[in-house]
Amino acid sequence: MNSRICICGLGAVTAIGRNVSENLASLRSGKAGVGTARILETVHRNDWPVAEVSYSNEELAAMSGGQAHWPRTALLSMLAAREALDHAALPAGEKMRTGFISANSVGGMERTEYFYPAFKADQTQGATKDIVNHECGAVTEIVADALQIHDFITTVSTACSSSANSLMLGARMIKQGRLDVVVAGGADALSRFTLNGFSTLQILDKNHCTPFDANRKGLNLGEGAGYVVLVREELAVQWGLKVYGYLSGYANANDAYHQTASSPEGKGNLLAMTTALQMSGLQPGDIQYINAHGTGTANNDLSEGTAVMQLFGDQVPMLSSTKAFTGHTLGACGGVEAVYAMLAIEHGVVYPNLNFTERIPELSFDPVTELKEGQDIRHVLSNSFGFGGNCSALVFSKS
Amino acid sequence: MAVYIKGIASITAQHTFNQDNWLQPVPETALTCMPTIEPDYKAFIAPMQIRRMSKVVKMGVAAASKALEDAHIALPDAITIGTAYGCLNDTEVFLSRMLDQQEEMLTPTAFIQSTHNTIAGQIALLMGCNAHNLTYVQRGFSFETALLESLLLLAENPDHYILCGGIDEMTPTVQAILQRVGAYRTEPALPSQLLQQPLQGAIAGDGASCMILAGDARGAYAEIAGLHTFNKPASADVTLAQIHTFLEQHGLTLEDVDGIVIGVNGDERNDSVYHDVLPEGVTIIGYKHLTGEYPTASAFGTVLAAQLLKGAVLPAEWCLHKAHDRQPQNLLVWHHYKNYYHTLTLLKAC
Amino acid sequence: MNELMQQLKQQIIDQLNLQDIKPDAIGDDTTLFGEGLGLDSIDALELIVLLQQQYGLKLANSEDGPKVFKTVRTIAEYIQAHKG
Repeated sequence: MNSRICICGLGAVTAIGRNVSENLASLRSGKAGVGTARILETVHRNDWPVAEVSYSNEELAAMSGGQAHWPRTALLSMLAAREALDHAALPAGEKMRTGFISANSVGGMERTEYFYPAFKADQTQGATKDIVNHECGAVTEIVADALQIHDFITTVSTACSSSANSLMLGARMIKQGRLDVVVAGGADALSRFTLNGFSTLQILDKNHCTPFDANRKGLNLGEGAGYVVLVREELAVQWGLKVYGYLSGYANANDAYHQTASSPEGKGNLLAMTTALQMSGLQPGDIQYINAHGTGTANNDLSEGTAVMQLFGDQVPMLSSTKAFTGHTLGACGGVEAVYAMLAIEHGVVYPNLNFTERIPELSFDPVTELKEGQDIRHVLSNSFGFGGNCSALVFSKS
Repeated sequence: MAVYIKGIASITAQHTFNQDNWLQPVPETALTCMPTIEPDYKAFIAPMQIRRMSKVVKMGVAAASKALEDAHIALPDAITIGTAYGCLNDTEVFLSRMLDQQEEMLTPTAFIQSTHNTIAGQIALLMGCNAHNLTYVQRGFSFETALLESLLLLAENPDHYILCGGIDEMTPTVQAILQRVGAYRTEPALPSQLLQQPLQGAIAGDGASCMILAGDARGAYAEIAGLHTFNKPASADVTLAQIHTFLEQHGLTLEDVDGIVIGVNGDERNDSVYHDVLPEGVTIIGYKHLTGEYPTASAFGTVLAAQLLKGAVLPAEWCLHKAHDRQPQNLLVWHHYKNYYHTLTLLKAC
Repeated sequence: MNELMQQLKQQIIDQLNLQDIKPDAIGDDTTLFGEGLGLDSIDALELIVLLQQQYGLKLANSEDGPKVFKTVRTIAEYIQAHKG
């Protein structure tokens, strides 16, 4: 079965917008979402800027149709997944085998942080509702139930590459005839657990992050969710769906170098990008834009940049990281950036890499620093690299 | 295309890791959690790496290493692992320090060891494996997703070798939480009594089971002839219809498969889903009464089926109903989680 | 100084969970990172916290880390130079 994987719906919520069009407007106007946490209750509120979605759990529940007691990750997931489904406008009454392949790294941890101290002091204490959805898979299940997707549900958890991998499994399930439609992507909410965890690694920037800059100090954590609706090509045509583009290539590789750091030469990064391109049948020169992983850490940006140079030689296409807009949304970033890649193709826009002043000495290229409109973007490469050496690359193509 | 199980390894509460004492009975006592019989991890992991590893990572690395050795493969072409709970111990260590110390003076080791993909990531790191690497975390469907992905990957690359596993650890805290929500029993029970007196709640356990899957039949334990998943069946009739349709596609009926491996665990809400469907007169094999219940225990159920198809002899305590004496040529592994996720895997002798 | 170094060795073993190593097996001048004891970047972060927790000292510059943590002796010297 050589039919293409069509992308027929997009949904996203981040610190820069509660839906796709708000996200796009912020990307176009240079409006970043990094600032002081207002909702996350942490003693480090003033130490580490974050990109927090500016709605409370109650507000997210009202907007998404979820329940206010759900973990925040589930509420973000619900909001973006519902938007993607509505956007796809799949025909009611048509038989279709539908999957929900989500991703997250933190699950319901933000609720668990309330449950645990009370439970630890006295095992009869702590509200059960705060712990029943702790598991990563529980978050996915409650959203799938609310969206009434039953045929196939699963969750990927591979740190920062998680939701890119969701799209890969979704594509494989469709290509091999096990599913017709997949809502694929991921979500992650801010939690004290992750904020403090990243802080112990000394890879947080106490100011607004500066991806790909020579003086970069680290990342800003963010939260959000991003989903795309993948549809088997014959069905997309048969149902007359709008096809925003194709997932034309994808690959997953492992750096196998260190638990949290990337190899200096970006071995896993290069392998993922190269293999994804090979699958798409494209040459490096066919890529007009790279949406980089670009977290702003000393390690990632150098490794990623090195791998990009190895693949593209002296013809590095336009490249930017959007993480200075959204923060690093961990398990959600692959999904969010898949949406951004599709918008780049649809609108011919390349987003600026904010806060860049000085080139990393070892690299031969600068990221794009000014918004570009009116571009002919036919193919986008989107990178997501995570702890555990998990490297994923996706290639999106114009329809 | 045909898929074969070429190498296996399991760590459970029974003698499952070594072939020389395979399934020899373990003296039973009444418990609420089955204690894992763990191998000497130092045979698989150097001291400087072992020092950071929690039980779940050690089990995963050891089982993965042994399965590869069993298949005579140095490096797999993909690693796909299912784990519902991930790294519970390290999660709790970091969480409790964070709360006790009010988010001050925290150290990174427990945090970096707490992510769900640490198991697959450490396996890759220790072996120097740059291949495709995935971790699935969907409750009692985590291993099954990894198994399904393995089949998808082999369909694309039939000459590859895939390391596929199901791994979970249990901790006292999580056991207490699961007891509180009624998933686990608070009263100790004897494994041999568990299934005769199903109540609310199962006995806890943990373990790791890994297998090497390939398109090559030589020396294989069994063939994976088919895998089918379905969710939220509206009734037992719907479940039965799903099973019949699946088996028909392979020229079989539920009445004439040589045996069915099921996940009964002593929790009557779980067990009744199986009993409401299974016909009389079929050989039924159970394992969770002896391994304990944990979301990826079904990985062991699959390994067990593979071993039986290669000629291993099943001790009586694992056989819940024996309908015939013939050496099995096929076995249906049926696993459900809360009657929500159902997976049917048909294994055949090869 | 010797007492401090002995104490540090035990603290390092405990903090980094070096279960099979006795304090006497760590020489005063054994290189801790890379060759020698074979510690890595995660251990470095652990030692930074150890310095803070046990001795109330915060590294002024994280770039000083490799110098300060080179051997048990260099750590002890740093502690003595900055305490009080």
